[in-house]
Amino acid sequence: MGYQIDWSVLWESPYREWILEGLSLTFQISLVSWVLALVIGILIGMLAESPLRFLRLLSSAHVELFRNVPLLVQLFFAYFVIPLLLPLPLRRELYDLGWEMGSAILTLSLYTSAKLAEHVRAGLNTVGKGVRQGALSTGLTWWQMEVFVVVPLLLRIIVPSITSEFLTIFKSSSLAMAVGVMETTYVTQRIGFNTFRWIEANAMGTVVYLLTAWAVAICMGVIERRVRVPGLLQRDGVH
Amino acid sequence: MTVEQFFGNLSLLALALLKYNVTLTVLAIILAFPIASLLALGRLSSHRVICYPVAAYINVLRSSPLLMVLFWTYYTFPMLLKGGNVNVFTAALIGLTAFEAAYFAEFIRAGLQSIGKDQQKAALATGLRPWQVSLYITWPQAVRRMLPSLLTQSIIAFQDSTLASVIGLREVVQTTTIVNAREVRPIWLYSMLAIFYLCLCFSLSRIVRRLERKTADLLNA
Repeated sequence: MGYQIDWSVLWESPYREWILEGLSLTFQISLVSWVLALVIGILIGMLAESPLRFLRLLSSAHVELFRNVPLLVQLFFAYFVIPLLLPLPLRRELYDLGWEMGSAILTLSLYTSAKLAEHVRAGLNTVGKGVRQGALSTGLTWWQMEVFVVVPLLLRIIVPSITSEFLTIFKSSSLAMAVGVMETTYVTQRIGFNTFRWIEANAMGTVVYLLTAWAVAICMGVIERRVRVPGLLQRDGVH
Repeated sequence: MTVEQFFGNLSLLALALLKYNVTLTVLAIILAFPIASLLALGRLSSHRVICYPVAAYINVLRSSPLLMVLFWTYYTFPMLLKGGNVNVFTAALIGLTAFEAAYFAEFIRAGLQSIGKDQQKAALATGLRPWQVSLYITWPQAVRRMLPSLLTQSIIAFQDSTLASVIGLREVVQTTTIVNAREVRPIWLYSMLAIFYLCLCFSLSRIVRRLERKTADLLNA
């Protein structure tokens, strides 16, 4: 075969810098999108329970729209189309800020928020009417009930889905390479093209994603056990 | 944009969607199901020699991004095997199949595990052989239970097939980019692409949801 595996190539300049930079971008995109997705997802999920029909429709439209269009298509739409809809000075501003990253974060957070909203809706059913009525009867206003009672409980209930969505975001952030963000997957491909050391580059990329997935799963497993609501949360394998 | 241009572009996109995305997804699903069934059986096996490697395969594939899997099948493996080139479609098909098989395997395993052990014991007690128990008792019920999640995953696979554009398959996203390079109408073209997928996946997911409800009724009855 004549192929000598040589790992040292990954640690040579400029590849080392590329890899470190790529890793940092992957983490930045994933973390920011995850936080945004969580906020949007909770809001959209709670709208599904709203007494106003219009807001319920808005919520399900959001979910259907972002779940049924492939992430790559959403990303291209955000990257190529959204700037064109803005006035010229604003458009320049957007490109100066780095719209590659921006569009990746925007699409990832919206796409994930739609999936989280479904979990939030299911979680709200688990919280149940009794807790809300109890909270209201202690004299809390509607807002106080939502903010201090329902949302904290909800967060504890949906921790497992928050974990799995973070893992999905982390993997999906690789799509950002399609609009030119130099994150881990793009770096893998570029090192491969530059050096023809495909095995080393590809193995490096895969290992990065595997290690992070396992690290996140372990950390969140600990958190899950800590915050579990007794008697409410059931998950296969964790008892 | 004139009417002819509109329909011209529409048919270009539809053709690319049918020729590559639909074909790729359907073939990948057909290939992935038997592989995933074997993986699920291996995962449930009590022999460590079988169980551990299968579990490792499933976990590794489920933790990697599809793009990384496609890089393995398109760039890395062909180079290892005689350094030759491989057809993009074949590479995408192998990658997507390997990837979805890992996801399918977990659904199949859950489906098989949801069938109570008592039924299998009772069936064995009537004198059926183990393979008959699997074929006539366990699998028919398990398949009915896992069908909705397998179909939902298949819709995701259909969406994922767009990633093949990154390794250069001329599927629908790649085609849109090419047409856009020629005509420079990003707003029209990318909206068209999004609406295409929205309509298809929305109707498919509605059908799956109806099936899911039917299955639930059937199981509760």
